[in-house]
Amino acid sequence: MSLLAVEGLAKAFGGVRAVAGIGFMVQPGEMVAIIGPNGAGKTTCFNLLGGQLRPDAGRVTFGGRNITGWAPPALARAGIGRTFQVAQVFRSMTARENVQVARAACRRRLLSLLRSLAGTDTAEADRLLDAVGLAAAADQPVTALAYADLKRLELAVALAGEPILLLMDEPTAGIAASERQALMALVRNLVAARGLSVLFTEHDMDVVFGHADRVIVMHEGALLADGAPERIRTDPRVREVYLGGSLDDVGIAAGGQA
Amino acid sequence: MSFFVAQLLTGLANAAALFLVAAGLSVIFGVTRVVNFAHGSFYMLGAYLAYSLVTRLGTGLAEFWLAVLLAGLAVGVIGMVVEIVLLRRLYRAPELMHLVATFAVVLIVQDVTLALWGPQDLLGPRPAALEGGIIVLGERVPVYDLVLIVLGPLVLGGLWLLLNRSRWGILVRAATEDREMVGALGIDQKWLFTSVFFLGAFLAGIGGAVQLPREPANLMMDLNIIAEAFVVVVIGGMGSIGGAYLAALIIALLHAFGIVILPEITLVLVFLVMAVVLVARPWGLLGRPEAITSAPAHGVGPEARWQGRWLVPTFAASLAALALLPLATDVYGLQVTTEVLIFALFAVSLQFIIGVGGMISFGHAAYLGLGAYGAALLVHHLDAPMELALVAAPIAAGVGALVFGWLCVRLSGVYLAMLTLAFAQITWSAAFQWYAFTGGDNGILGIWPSPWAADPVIYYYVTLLLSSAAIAALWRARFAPFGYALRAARDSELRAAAVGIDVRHTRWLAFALAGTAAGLGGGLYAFLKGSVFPDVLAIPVSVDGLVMLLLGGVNAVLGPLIGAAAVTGGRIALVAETELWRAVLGAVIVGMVLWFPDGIAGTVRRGFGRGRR
Ligand SMILES: Nc1ncnc2c1ncn2[C@@H]1O[C@H](COP(=O)(O)OP(=O)(O)OP(=O)(O)O)[C@@H](O)[C@H]1O
Ligand SMILES: [Mg+2]
Repeated sequence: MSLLAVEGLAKAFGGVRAVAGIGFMVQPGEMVAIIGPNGAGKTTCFNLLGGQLRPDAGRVTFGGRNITGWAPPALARAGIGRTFQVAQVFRSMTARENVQVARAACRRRLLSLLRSLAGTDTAEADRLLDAVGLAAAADQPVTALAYADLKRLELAVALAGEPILLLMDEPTAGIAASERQALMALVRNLVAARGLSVLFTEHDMDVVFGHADRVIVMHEGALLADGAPERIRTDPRVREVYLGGSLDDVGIAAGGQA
Repeated sequence: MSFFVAQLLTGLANAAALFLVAAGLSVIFGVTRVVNFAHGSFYMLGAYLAYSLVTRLGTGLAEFWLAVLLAGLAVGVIGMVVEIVLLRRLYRAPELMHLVATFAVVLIVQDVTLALWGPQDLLGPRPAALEGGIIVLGERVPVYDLVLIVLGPLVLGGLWLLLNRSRWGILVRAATEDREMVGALGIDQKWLFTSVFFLGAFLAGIGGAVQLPREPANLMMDLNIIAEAFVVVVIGGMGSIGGAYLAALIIALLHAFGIVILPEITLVLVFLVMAVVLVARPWGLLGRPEAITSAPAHGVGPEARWQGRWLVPTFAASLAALALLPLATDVYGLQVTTEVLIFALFAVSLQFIIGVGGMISFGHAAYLGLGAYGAALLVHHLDAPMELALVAAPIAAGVGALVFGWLCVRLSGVYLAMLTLAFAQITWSAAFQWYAFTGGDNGILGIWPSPWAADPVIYYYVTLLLSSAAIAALWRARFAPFGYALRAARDSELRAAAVGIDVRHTRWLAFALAGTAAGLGGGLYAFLKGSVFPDVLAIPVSVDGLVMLLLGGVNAVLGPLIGAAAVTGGRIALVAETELWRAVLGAVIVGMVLWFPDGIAGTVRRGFGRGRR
């Protein structure tokens, strides 16, 4: 049985049909990329799956449960974690505290008034920071971190929730091209080690074709193609969408991974 | 039937002034994003200026309207001055600064008005032509009421034309809908903002002027109308003129009909209407939903941690010093210190909401007051001992905070600030009006400590023990997972919800917790003073709390303690020194907001930081 099943999902803003009845599935342990030109509806789709937006129509099933329209905290508890296109972290805290809050939320310790957060789950938080390569920055206030490190931190925060499915909206946006592959390799290893599924969007085609098990192409809110990377690369409709847009230098047409 | 018509017409007439004030508030907010607390002061100035003008010009019809117009224009100019001198420098500052700065204007205007016109109420003469009444459906209705009833829709129509048909109005609407656009169009933004302030202040001034023949000009007009205008704007939807009119009608009619049934019922009705509207449409009847995220209410940077080496030792040392204080000071000094301790607890509890929670509360006095009244009523009506009353005080305030907080946490930013103020004002009105139960403005007297604690030294120790225990508990909560969850929701609501934090519940609980702590302070306050008056619930007390936070630094852990000592001590000294203490306080606030927005602690810390580098 598939882990995530999306059917007929739709959301409009005024007259704009940002997501216009899209359907796809994600299998356990799978790493799936959603690609599409700017404004295709990728972020909106993520916000519908993560509960930040309510769908106008459609149905989302996760682990056999109908989770359509659930609020973000409930989805987090059900095992869906996410990162945002623009990294969202707790700006007044240190890197470790960011992870510790997320741990406390996951372990339902938020109502605890008497223990101090500083002493809870410290080792675990440090392990997670280590996993994303931020061990040295644990005690740094996040305002002192570089943007690429915030993206890593957000990953650690999302992982602290023990997700089964991780939604990553442009995990490498704002990161230097040289660091992107390293970050995605890290995600890949985590996927393998923890057995999670990842659904991510990405504009860097090298990242997409280097790391996705499957690629879904969105265009103007609708599903254009869904299949193995090799098939997507040669799909004439996908080429047309990208060649028609501004992303003709991304390597789809060339068919290569740099 | 005729009774119904009479109340209906009175209500419609009352709506006019309220609408004018709320519309001005709304227009200003729409363009500048400033919630102008001083808008009630503009209204009050309109009434006083109209009084002076009418008494000089005479009571002919033309003279009367000329006086109204001149009063409006004069207030408009005052509004421009306030904008140019003060607010222009604050547009980039957090919302909290806007509210506090404009409240400083309220304080200054109060003293200036008092100095110029004196403390007595001034009833303006009504123009002879508008005297008398007309029989409508068998009921005599004052002609002047009918004039006001017509005025509302006239102004509404005029504003609509101005905003939709003039070039200036189109700019204003463009700025309201998309602030980036104004810059992009290459419009002189400064001029646009100043002119908007002129219009808003002009409307408030007219509102006060036309109210003069019905209600004498008095020094309580400013805060009374601003609280109602906030209710109107929250219900009608910020930035919507039509919404302001609709909501002004609803509120005025509720008052008109409620007052004949039972005055206290009116407050409950207003609360219920707000509750229903806010649950169904949090952005108001005709307002528009806010975007998913809203900016934090105040600057957010790295913050202290519990392990901070200095915190526990500093607190312990202060406690030790305070415990030895009775050896070094007289009874008066002890009583002042007792008051400081109570306000320290008040300020720490307010910081829990504003600093840690990021929710701007402008009505925290409500919980101090609920505690004070909770204790005093128990003693007065049931002869309860102090010990029991001090248990009841935090409970009463906590329950109040649970009820109000349930609605408050549905809103954020300035809406939340306005709502908290409105709730505090409802509580104040209840204490003020419900003579049979609360003694109204005569207050409740004879609230003395139990015999064992009657000695000021003992009572000082009781206060020291209870306040510091409650403060320590709030700090503990702040650095516990709960406090971090609250902060997480403040830092990034999106992220917090996505890791499984139920933002609304967390905030609600924080609200209740802070209310409970403030309530304990209120109980202690009642026994310190031996009496309770509605003043303890009034807006100035809430604002004192804000000033304490600003002085000490909104997020600095020890800030509220410094702020409470400075404000409470400063006030006691000021009141003894000068009659114009409000104006002085206002000037101090303005100076602080403009030059030391980080507060004492923040400024000192920054100074050190620079020195070290
Ligand atoms: N809150 C909103 N209100 C109105 N329109 C919106 C909103 N969010 C998105 N849209 C519109 O919906 C469409 C899809 O936007 P979305 O952000 O989902 O695209 P995207 O595929 O994530 O683009 P990008 O690659 O640039 O991140 C766009 O036309 C966008 O303008
Ligand atoms: Mg996007």
